[in-house]
Amino acid sequence: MSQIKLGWRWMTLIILVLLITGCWDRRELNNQALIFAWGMDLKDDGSYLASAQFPIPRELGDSETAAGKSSFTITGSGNSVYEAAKDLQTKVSRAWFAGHRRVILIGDKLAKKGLSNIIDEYSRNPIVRLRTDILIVKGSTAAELLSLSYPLEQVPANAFFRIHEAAGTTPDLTLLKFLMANASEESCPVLPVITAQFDSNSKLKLWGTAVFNKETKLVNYLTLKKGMIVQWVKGELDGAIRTVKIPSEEGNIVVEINHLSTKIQTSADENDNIRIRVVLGAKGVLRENNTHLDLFQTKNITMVKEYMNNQTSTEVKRVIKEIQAHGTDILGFGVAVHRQHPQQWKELKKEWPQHFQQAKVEVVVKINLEESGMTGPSIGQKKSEIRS
Amino acid sequence: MQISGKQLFWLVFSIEIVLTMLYAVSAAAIEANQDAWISMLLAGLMGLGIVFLIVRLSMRYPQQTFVQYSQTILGKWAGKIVIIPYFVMWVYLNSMVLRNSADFVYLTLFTKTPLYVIMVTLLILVIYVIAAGGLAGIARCGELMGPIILVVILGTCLLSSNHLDWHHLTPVFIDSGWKHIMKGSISGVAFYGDIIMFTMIFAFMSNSKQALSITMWGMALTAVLVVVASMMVIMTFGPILPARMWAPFFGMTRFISVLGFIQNVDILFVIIWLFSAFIKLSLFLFIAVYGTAQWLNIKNWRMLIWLMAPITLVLALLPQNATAPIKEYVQQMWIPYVIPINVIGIPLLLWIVSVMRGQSIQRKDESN
Amino acid sequence: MANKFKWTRTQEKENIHMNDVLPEQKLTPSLCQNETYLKEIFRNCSDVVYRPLYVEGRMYALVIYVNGLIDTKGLEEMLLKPLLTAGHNPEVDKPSYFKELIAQQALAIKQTALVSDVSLVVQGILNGQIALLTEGETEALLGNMSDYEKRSIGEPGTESVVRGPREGFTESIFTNKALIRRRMRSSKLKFEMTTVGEMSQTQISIAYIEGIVKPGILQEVRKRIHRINTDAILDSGYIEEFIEDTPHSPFPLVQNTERPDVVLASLLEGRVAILVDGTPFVLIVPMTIWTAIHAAEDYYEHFIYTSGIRLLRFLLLSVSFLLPSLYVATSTFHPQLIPEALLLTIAAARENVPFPTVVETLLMEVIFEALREAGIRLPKPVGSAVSMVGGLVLGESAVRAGIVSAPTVIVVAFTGIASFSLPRYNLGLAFRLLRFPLLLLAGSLGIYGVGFGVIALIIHLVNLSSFGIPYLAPVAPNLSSNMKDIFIRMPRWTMNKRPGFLVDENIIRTPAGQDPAKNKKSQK
Repeated sequence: MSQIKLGWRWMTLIILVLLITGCWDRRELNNQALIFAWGMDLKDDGSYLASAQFPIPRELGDSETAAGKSSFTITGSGNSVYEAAKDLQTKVSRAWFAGHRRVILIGDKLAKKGLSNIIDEYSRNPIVRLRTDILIVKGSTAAELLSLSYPLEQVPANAFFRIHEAAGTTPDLTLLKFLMANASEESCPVLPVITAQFDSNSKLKLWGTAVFNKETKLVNYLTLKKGMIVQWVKGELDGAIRTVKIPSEEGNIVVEINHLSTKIQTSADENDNIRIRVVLGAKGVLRENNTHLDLFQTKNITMVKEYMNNQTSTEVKRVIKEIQAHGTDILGFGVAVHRQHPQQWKELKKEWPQHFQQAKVEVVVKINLEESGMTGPSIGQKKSEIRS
Repeated sequence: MQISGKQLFWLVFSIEIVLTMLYAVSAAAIEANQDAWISMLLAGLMGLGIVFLIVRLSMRYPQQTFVQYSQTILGKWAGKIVIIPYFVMWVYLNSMVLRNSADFVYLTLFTKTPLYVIMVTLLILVIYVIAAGGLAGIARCGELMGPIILVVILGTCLLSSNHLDWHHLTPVFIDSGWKHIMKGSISGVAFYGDIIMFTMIFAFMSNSKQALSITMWGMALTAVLVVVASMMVIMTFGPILPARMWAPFFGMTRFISVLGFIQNVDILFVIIWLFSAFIKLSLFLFIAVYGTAQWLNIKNWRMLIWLMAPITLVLALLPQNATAPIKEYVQQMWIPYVIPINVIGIPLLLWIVSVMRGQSIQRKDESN
Repeated sequence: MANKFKWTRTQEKENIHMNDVLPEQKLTPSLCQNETYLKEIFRNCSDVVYRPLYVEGRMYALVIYVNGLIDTKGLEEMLLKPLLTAGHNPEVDKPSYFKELIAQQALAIKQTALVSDVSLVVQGILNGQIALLTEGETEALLGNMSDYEKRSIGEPGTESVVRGPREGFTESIFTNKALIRRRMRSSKLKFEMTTVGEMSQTQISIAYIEGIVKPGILQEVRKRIHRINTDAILDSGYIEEFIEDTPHSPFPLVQNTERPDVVLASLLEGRVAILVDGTPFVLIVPMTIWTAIHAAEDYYEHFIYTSGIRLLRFLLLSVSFLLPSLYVATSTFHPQLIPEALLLTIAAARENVPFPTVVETLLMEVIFEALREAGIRLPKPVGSAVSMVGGLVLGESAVRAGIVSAPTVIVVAFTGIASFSLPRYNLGLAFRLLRFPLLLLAGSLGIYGVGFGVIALIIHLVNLSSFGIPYLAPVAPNLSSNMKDIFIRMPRWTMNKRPGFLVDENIIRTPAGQDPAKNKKSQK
């Protein structure tokens, strides 16, 4: 027993020593610079430009002392990503902390060169969250966007995140989805694109989608509208607005669609010719009627429906064609083929980009117009103008 | 020092679940991709088979520990020699568990704190519980922490369920095939093989008749939860990423976000990890100490802690980086040697010899 | 090796030699001699009163008592008057005259005894009896006329309830026993008397219910109380420290209460109560940690409300223990765990604070404890001033001046409130004390340090036991049949058994089938 007691004494001593000499990882909040957004650009001379946005805690406190901008941005450059980050560190008075980095902006020039080496760092560091939003900057550089001020948000970095969020996606999952698509055999990754207008009042705008190939190089841009169609085909879209042009009328009809559904049917013959049939379904609610049509009439409704389905399927086809031209499967066709023909996939996957390019795609759109709103004909029109 | 059936259940559960959930899924995904969960299911079934083998063997001698009945079966000298591979396993396993636990804490929480600090503090706790409470103390800790571990795991599963896409699980089976699925399950079996340590524990049960059903239930709950966890991991990260991740289930908990405010519940996972590591380490160190004392006929087994703990610490400090211990431990040590020899070979041998000799000792007075 | 560190301790038992009466000293027939002798024993005891009775200038009897311990009015009425009349009786010189008087019940004194040992006479006088010595008699008459000033029964100060009985124990053991007995009219309720304290001769009563209490536990209580050898017992706290299982633990292993209903409820669960004269705090053993979280009112209020309150208490318990450390650990080690918006607020508040967060929090905790202590010790009017200065001046201006940050003040204040929400003060004390080492651990190892502290605490708790009953019973070791009254409280008709870890026989409290809803159905 006495030995055990002696042991306790030693252990108490060890704990005390540890406590006294401890604090290896202790960093006070007021000795740290919190990074909320991070940017990477490729400069014209081929070197990297890293930029980081730090909130200024002093300015975020009670309103009496707050005076200036709530954040500031620092840039650093170097021949590699790491060097640029090191250069940046030398310009910051406090040790930085990246645990709250929710947004990463990447200049389009860098994106065209390839993202593999920077993505690796973001997924490796355990402190950095995998739950990060990545946006491609079109038309300017990430550093420029980071130095913008955005009065609506406490920290401007949140603006990027929130704008993306407002578009109906979960920005948290952007990096994860990118990594998943990049790692998969079938798909190609995409990232959202943001732009800014630099006039008197800086404005941010979600521009669309950037399409990457398997080498994580940016190959194509899709506008917001096209990007939505891609999402619909992938089954990730919750709702959208469709404008239907009626050829015999001057105006158009606006339909809000929801309950979107997607069905991808694939077939592959022995020569590895792929046929894909995309069936897009939705429920539509009529929101705006600028035409003279009386939508209490069933035949008018049917007509609108037909026009809408035809116009939509043409549009979808056009977008798919465009994507096929680049050989980047961002539509989930490969996934569908894999699931529906797993045995053949073992052969197909070796040259999937080619197969994807040559696949024959058929698009069927089935939007059901369920409600025409409270009124049949547009109320603001004369009786004589209304056509039944 | 006696433990009740409930205590045994929680010990089995809390020792097996966390490590398997974190590491085995990743190892299985390397081989079987989206079919990793089938691998884990197979591993669970094999784990149950191992449980059946070792409990039936131990129940032939309900009052004796493994060290004792190996001598009853094979005679004094052969029985003692058979323990040598187990002794090596005890020492090695302890150091690896310590190393893994410390690595996990280090990777998730620290950047500058030296690894030995984490190990020493963890060992202090383990020594404390063994010296102060012995097996009964460990069992009570398990009883308190086990339900907490279960609740946290169920909670994380529930909260992560909004990101799931079951399509990632398809196509089932065709991509990988039996060969890869079996290969993937080996790592799971390697983790479940820890259950062999319990051959030293059954002798302490207050009602040894329950041992088989309780150990089976504990293992079954573990296996089911691990299968669910691996399915969820695949449904969150797809078929490819989990294989490249260091601890995919932990990665999944990092995506939990409720109301945009309840985030980073991964810290809860670190806490239950700590609980599980503590119970595992203290039980295994207890077994190593107690078993060695019985093996070498040392009366005061508690003394051996002061020998065994430093050895464990030194061995745990030897590997160079964080991924080495878990990978090498499974690939080079556990799969080629420990599973075939310690977990299956020797117990099977003992069982056969025991059955052939027609031995079965049911009461304590006969065993002495 | 082992012997080298063995402490050589003198095991010789030291007895207390404080009594100056020889044990075998007898009274003499001479009253004068007895008087001188007793006066020698009670020299300088100005509260001892000698009342001689004379007949024709000759002292024939002497009444001795301690002033204030007896009912003086009763003394005059019941003893002195009859004695004075008796003194005029010519037979007064007859040796057995007083014995006869008593036999005839001429002296209206309750509980009389005749003793011949001087030591017993002395003891009797000190216990509040009156001693009557007479000429020519070698035996003294001891009569019980004990009556002293005592506090009236009031509401218990430490355990007040909204609903439930409001009577609390007083300093008198007789009143306390009566309070218990009045609620339990059964001969099964026993009060074993004993005295502890070589000089103080404090009366102690071991209360239990025969047929419910485990004989082993009762025997252990008797053994531990009889083992106590000290000069005086001034409060039940003295007893508590002598009979604890693990004296070095910060956790209370003996429950104390001021409430007779709590005592009875515990007795009915098979526990043993120890009443000590001179203090309203009654000890209850064995104690489990859960009893410290349960308030008396839990059993009087509706069970759903009680269950909710209990869960809240568990939450507050963990807050009082963990919150400051978690705050320090997350804000200085793992800021990634704090949501962005909150982190920015904390960062903004901390910007000008000169201390590290650990030091700041420790400082505030110490200040808080100081305020609490000062509030208890100081006279009431001053106490309110202290809390004014503390709460307003210290808190508000320290934050204003940027010496401490507002989040720290909030954390410390909430912790303080949470630590007072426990029904038993002494468990709150334990957790309040342990908060400080945990804070240091959090400050050096972050969340891992907190986890270390929590696990160490769990190890400590599972190894504690009170009179052989595990401190965490029935949770660890788990006895799920007794879980109806731990984290929540089930309705009374479902809690039909006494705790199985405390009671072996007569385990059924309430026969089954008293669910009112079911009874209603069966009537239809």
